[in-house]
Amino acid sequence: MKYCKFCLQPDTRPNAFFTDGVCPACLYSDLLKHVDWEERLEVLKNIFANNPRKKNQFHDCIIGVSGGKDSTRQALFLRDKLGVNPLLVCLSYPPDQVTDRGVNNLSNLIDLGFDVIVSAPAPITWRTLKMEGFYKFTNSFRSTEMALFATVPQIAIKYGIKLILWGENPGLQVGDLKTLGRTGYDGNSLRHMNTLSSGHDWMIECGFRKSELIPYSYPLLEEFETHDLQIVYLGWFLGDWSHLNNAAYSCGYGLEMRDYGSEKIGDLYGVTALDEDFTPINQLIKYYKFGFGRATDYVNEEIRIGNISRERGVEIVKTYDGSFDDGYIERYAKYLSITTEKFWEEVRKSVNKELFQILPDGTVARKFTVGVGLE
Amino acid sequence: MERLQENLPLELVLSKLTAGIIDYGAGNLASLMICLKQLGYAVKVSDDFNVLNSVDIIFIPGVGAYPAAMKALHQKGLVSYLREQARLQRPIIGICLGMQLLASASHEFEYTTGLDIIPGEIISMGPSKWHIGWNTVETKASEMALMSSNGGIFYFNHSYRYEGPTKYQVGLSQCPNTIATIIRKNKVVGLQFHPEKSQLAGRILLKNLILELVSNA
Repeated sequence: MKYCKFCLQPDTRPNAFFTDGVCPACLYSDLLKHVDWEERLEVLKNIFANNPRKKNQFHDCIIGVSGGKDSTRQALFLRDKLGVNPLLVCLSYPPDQVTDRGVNNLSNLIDLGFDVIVSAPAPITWRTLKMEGFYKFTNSFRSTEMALFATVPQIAIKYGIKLILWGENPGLQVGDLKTLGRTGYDGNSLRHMNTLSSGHDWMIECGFRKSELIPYSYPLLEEFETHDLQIVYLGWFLGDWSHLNNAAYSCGYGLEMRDYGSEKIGDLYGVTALDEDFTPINQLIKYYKFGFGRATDYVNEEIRIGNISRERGVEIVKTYDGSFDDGYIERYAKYLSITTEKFWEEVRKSVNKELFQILPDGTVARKFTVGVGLE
Repeated sequence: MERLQENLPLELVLSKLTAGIIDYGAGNLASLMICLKQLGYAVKVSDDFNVLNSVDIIFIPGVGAYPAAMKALHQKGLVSYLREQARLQRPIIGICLGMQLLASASHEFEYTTGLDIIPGEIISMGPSKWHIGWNTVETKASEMALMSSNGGIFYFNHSYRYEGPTKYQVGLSQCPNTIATIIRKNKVVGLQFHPEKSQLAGRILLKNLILELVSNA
């Protein structure tokens, strides 16, 4: 395990390849210093000009939303700055997973005057898939992320809308190189990202019928071509796109944040995954698998922007990555119908033994040094 | 596939019972039929009193508009028939619009009198306008048959709601204001949600409810 020279991105992130010791996201961020944002705005305007809405249609594009900071900012930007009418599409978590905060934030978007379509997959299928995913991959989000990404093009096809907008370009802003498209904003390669490319064969193997898996089925390449769908990353056009800026922007328009301490779950500002409380657990498991968690993602962004030093970043990551709250784990285990002991047993099985050691009392301790890597 | 199902003994005495679904030309009956058959019942769909007299429990399905549904029931003579059956303490379950038909009247489109089996009126949802998707239901502690469905997740699709005496409200949901989503008077129960479209939670509710309604006659 090695770290990026500039930020705290480890080379253990899937699909990330370093150049001369520098991670793809830092290389990209360096390029951003010379970007003409006015020019990019023109590109965006051209995209809309070249993809006019069809007759009898009310919407110019679709945005995949959760109601959180990124979606709120995107929706407002498109409508109020560009004057286009987006249709917002939300894949909602079932009642036993969604938080009141998440429901309020989605309602906030409706109150702000947007048209919102909610796709609500059946709760028991959802939960059973999460249970299967946890046992198979120690990742209960494998199925739900599929649904999250699949719903939006599905609705686009249904409504005959060609343009789909997502926020962050995972290739540039995070470093999943497999998702890079023809241009910095082209998102049609999203299907190659780690989660989506894994497909849903494993769900079929679990015994689910194809008809039950409709919400989890990402439209095929042929369907994208037939319907001329184009995914565009809006983040590419916004010079100040970041977790914090998006949150600051959206809070002014009624976004509700987490109101308790980040130390419990490693969410430094309480602005991510507002609509449910299982993501922090998944971040913890991700940390045990790859050696980086939510705090690393936050810190890297701040280092690249120049808000904090790499040294300060090391302190923060040491403190917060791998932190967890027993209450969250209890609720998560209950949802998966397992005991917390069973939860930890499964999690320990998936711990990357090169990066971590499991102490006699069961705690997971890192072998690597944050900012340095493995000796 | 619903794994959790394996833990449940859904067969037992159920196979001997017959459920009757009122056929008054409204809505899609297939999902209810399939669901009841999966629970182990024989199912008869009919508007014939002789057939409906022979079943153990009567279902009033319903999708569509209130005035049209009442008109259809009147034309088939089912209004007085159902009122009579309720008086005779026969078990009746109304689903979605079928629940609303049990009430005294509705304000949907125009003021329409209902079956008037459970006192109360059907009024607009108000500011939230509609209630579509999955939501939880809290059941009243006194309803033993609904106990294991307390907090269960069910599928809703309606834009009008029941307003009436609290003593008939045995299940409540938040939307975001509290609304009655299960109503009951004696052996007549109305379900605002679609148990037949609510996966295992719906089948558990139906199983327990039907057992209770048909057992202590």
